[in-house]
Amino acid sequence: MKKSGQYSWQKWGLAATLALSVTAGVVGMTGVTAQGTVTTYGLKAGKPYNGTKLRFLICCLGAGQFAQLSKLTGEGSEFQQLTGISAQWEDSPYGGLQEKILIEATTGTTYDAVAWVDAWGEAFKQYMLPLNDRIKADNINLKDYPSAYLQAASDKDGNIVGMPFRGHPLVMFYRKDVFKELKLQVPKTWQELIRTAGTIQQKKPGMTGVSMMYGAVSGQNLFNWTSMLWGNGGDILDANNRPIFNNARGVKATQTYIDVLRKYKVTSPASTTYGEPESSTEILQGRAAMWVGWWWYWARFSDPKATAADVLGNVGFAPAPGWAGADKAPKTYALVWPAGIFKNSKNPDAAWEFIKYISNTEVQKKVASNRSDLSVADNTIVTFSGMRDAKVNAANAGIPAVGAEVLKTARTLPRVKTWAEIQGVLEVGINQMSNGADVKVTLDRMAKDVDEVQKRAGYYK
Amino acid sequence: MNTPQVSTEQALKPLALKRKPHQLHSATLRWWLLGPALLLIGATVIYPMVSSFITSFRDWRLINSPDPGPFVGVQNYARAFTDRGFLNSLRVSGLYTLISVGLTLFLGLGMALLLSKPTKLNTFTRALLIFPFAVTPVLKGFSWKFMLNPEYGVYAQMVGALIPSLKGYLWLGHDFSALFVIALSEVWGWSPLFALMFIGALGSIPPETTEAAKMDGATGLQIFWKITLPLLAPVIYIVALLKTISAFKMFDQVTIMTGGGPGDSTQTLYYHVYQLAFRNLDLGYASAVSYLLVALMAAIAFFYVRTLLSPKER
Repeated sequence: MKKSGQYSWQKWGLAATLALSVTAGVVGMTGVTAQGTVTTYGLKAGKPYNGTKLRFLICCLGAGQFAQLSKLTGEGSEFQQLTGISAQWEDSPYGGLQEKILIEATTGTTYDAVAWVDAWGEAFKQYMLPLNDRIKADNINLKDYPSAYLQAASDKDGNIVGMPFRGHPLVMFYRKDVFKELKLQVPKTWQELIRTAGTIQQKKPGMTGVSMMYGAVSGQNLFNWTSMLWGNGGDILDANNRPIFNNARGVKATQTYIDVLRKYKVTSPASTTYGEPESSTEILQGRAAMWVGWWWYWARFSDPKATAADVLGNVGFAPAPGWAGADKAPKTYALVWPAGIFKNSKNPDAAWEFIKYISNTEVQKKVASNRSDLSVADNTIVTFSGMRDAKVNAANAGIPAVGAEVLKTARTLPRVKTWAEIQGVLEVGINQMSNGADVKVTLDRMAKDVDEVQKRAGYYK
Repeated sequence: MNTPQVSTEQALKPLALKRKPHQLHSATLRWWLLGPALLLIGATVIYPMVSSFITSFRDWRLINSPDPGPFVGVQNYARAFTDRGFLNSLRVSGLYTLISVGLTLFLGLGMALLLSKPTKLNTFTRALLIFPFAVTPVLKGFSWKFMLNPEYGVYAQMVGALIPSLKGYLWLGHDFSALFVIALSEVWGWSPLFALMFIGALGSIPPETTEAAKMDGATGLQIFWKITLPLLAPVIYIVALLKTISAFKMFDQVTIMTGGGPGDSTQTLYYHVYQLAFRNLDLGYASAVSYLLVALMAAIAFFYVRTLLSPKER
């Protein structure tokens, strides 16, 4: 009897340990402890779409926010418990995502929902379901979203075809320890940044002042160029979609952009081949003192596994630089991933529940403040109220609030269906200038090429 | 015992009668067996080829419509000859082919001559030769990109140590060197395979021929130029044709190592077609450029076959 009782206790003990382990495992996987309700997230009560399995076309599940959200909406997730719907996130390679979306939008019926990089959208927005009525019916507060994000997620008639659920302002990262040692002020303009970078290189041999990216890689050499161009009052296209980046303002901004590398030599000569991964690695590994890039890198800079020991804890951030003498607040480049529903979707209503959930501020706050697993930590959040939330800022050293300031005046790339082709012309031309081609001559040739692209597409004759 | 006298014709008749249905059965069976393969080829090769040929005469841009646009005659083909991108990719592919075919043949032949003697070490080395060819192009691209990084790349460091003026040189940052190292990454994979082919061909040269030449006082170089090389010519032609076609199809390493850069200096024809079709979504024009590439390949193949085969064989 005694023996049997002892076994019984052991069984209970084992069961309790297993239950705790499973719970801890689930919590550890998602890192989320607080369970919301349908009201918290603005979802429909009563599980009207119970049993629906959605397919969501996206890429890059390695990105912390995507990794967390995919677990929050998959089989056995909080979202499934609340709605009965589960979503399968299709991790398509980034390089082929744009083509896959277009093919799916025009001829496919495989996927219900999709997320895209804003600049790609114009080519397939006509195949996406307008969301205005649904947004109105669910009382979603659009004023909480940066206007740049909403514009980028709308079609030419002003219909919103995607809800922003991942977005980035450009911020400047810098080495706090280096700035403190050399008693430097954080630069506010590109001109100040160049001077500061020069000082750092002079006083810290072996360290480059600023890490840049001039390589022709998926349009990444446009990130800082557009910020300089817009900062100086220039633009890529005019109101009639004609190229104007080769006017006087454009030439001056581009010349400055190229001079960082070729005249002032305050960046690595290898940056002519760098895209975003290589240029960010320069600061991650302690070889550069400054870098202007997307704010989500903050999570990486604060991850001991991703950052060199002397860099960890020493990376500060500030709004991306503006242009010296500009009469307006800096207009830097912002990027957004809207999530929308294909017109061909067989489950548009369930897909809307899914989109509401992943773009909901409470869900986004939960994800952005979760730092239980640094490999999937991500400070990205799309609404102003989320960016200003105390808990989110406490978890991310205040970078969300800085992002909110930048996003007040930031803008996104032109919304033309020919953008992919235009980007090809721009990225190659920028790369050629970084390798020594004359700025004015190259810009004129690029403008001529873009002009032909626009004429061929029927924007004008 | 009297055996009945039958003619050979009569004797064979029942056999022939028996074989006829069997033959019919074989012919039907043959079609049944070939059918699935023919259907598969028709659906995956013939249909797309015919469809893309028709598309090459249409104005079809996916950004405008998911349906094919109107027929525009030879407009897409004519556009190619004024398109700077196409002309540049033609030049790049030509130069790349010249470098990669030349180097592959030279190194392949050199390795074959070194390893043709059947020693134990040579046999072992020959077995190792197949490995570089087995490496996938994408992996080759990533490895070479990594090894050529001026800061931590092993090749870049080795070259920098041997030639100090090339220390920190940006191999992928200059027009010619970028194309050259892409070609090298391909030569690294192909030349060992060619070496194996040449070793086989060298083995088929009768030793009496070279021995007779030696007895007549010919030097090693003379034997190579006057005997070995002419006898290897058919194999050289075939492998050169294979490599030329493969070189014109270069895509993977360009995508991985340079993305067509610096500028557009490594944008090969295949890469350009890919950009036209899947970035610009200009399916009509991309199809036309693809067919220009096919025509070019056909011309090269025709030239090689004419040169390879003697007039009698032709």
